[in-house]
Amino acid sequence: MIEFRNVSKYYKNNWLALNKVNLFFEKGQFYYLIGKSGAGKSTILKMIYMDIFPSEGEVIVGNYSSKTIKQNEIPLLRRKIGVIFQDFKLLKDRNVYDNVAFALQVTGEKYQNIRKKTLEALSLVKISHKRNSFPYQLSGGEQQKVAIARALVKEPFILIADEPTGNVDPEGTKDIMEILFDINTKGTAILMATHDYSLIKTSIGKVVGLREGKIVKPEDIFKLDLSGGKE
Amino acid sequence: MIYILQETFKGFFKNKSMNLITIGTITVAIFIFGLFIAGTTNLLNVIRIAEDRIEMVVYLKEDITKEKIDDLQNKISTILGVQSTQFVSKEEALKQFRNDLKEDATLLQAFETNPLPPSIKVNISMAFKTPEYLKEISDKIKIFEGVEDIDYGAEWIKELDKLVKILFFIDIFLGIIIIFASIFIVFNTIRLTVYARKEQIDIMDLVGATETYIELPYIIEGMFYGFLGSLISTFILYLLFETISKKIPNIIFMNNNAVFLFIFFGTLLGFIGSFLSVKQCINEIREMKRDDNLKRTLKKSF
Repeated sequence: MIEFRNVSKYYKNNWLALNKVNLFFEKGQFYYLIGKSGAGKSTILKMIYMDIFPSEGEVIVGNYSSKTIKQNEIPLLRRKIGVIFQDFKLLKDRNVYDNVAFALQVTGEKYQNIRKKTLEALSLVKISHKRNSFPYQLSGGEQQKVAIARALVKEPFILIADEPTGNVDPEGTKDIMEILFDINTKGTAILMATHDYSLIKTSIGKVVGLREGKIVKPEDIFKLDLSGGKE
Repeated sequence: MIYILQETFKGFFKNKSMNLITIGTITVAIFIFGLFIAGTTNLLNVIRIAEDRIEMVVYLKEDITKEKIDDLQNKISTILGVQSTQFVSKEEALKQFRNDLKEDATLLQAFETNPLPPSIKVNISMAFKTPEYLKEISDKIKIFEGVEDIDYGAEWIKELDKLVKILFFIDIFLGIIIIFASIFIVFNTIRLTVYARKEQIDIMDLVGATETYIELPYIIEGMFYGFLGSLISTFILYLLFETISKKIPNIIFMNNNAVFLFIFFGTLLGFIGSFLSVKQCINEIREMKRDDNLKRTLKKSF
């Protein structure tokens, strides 16, 4: 479904962010992408929704390849991928309902479907009761739920979560993780980048370790990071 | 489509003072331009009336015979650009002169004989009333036997011609300035609007909105500025001309086609300004986002 073939990425000043990465993400699975900040997690996530492209190698997402995708195909690809971030990225001037409906409005969804789909997504993340609230009236956990609803409303095959609990209190974190597991059991693959190892439930998902742009065994990361201090 | 229109009007009403300044500036710019165009049109009209009155008078020698006159008239009639000819005898010329002088006709009594020569009035077709053609026709007539002198107001025509050319030059020059000024002001206003909605564009990119959805609201907004600006300025021009025409009856306002063209022109300027602005700003925002992310990543890793 998603494949990284020998992918390397150089940023400015020849800084190597990814070093010959080979990865394969299967349909409907739950993946944790772990590693310290700057290990290359975000680079991998952005390559999946083709916000950045490999300097070497190839990324294949569904029927699209990073080598051959055209500029006007990228929006079509992104409609099949949901993305959430640590900072939620909600529109402050719109209420919860409008924030979620926005994703449908700007992708040409039929007017009569928008209401139904939006309300469904809101109920899936259990935030329907706050549909008229504005982002500033919500807690971090609630805001992230809205962001998840916005990502899900387009029925993506994968949900990419970049440190989704980074700005959420412990109570909210628990809620968010439950929602992610719940979504996964309904068939959507999840790829979650995190450096909070306490969130990982190996019984549910597979763990991919990343250090200095290279894939490493997760055990190595746990060992080294835990002995080496925080993170 | 509903979304695009909603966004356009949201953008329009969100930043009222800035938008009013934009529309105001476009209105003033297009108004000035319109004033010059209308001025030129009216002056051209006056010139056309003046040119209509241009005629060539061929003065003949005193002793010319009736046959020679007929022959001359025939010859002149065959010249390209000559519409018709009319012979004016010495007596007729004097009568005309008396009429023109009215009360001062007594002055003529000082002359013992009729001082006016016989002449042939030559009517020239409209298209040939340019200094070049008139000179050409006059040169052809000059060589005929029995012709004393030719008068067609050569200097006066040259001056008129020069004036028209200068006016056209000013119109074009002013037009170019107005075009650039209008595009520039729309460009900047749309730039502010786009930057104010940077996060929204970021999210649209993320959820898979096409370029059309991202850009169209801003482009329509810019076109709307141009449309409103030109509409208002045309209306003010109309009122102005209505007022003036009460004092100067011959003045003409733009016809319907010109009004339509004028408003279309304003809308087009709005389109160009916003189109250029949107293309540039959205790319800048995307670049900035990438740079920003990169800086954050680099900061984390070192």
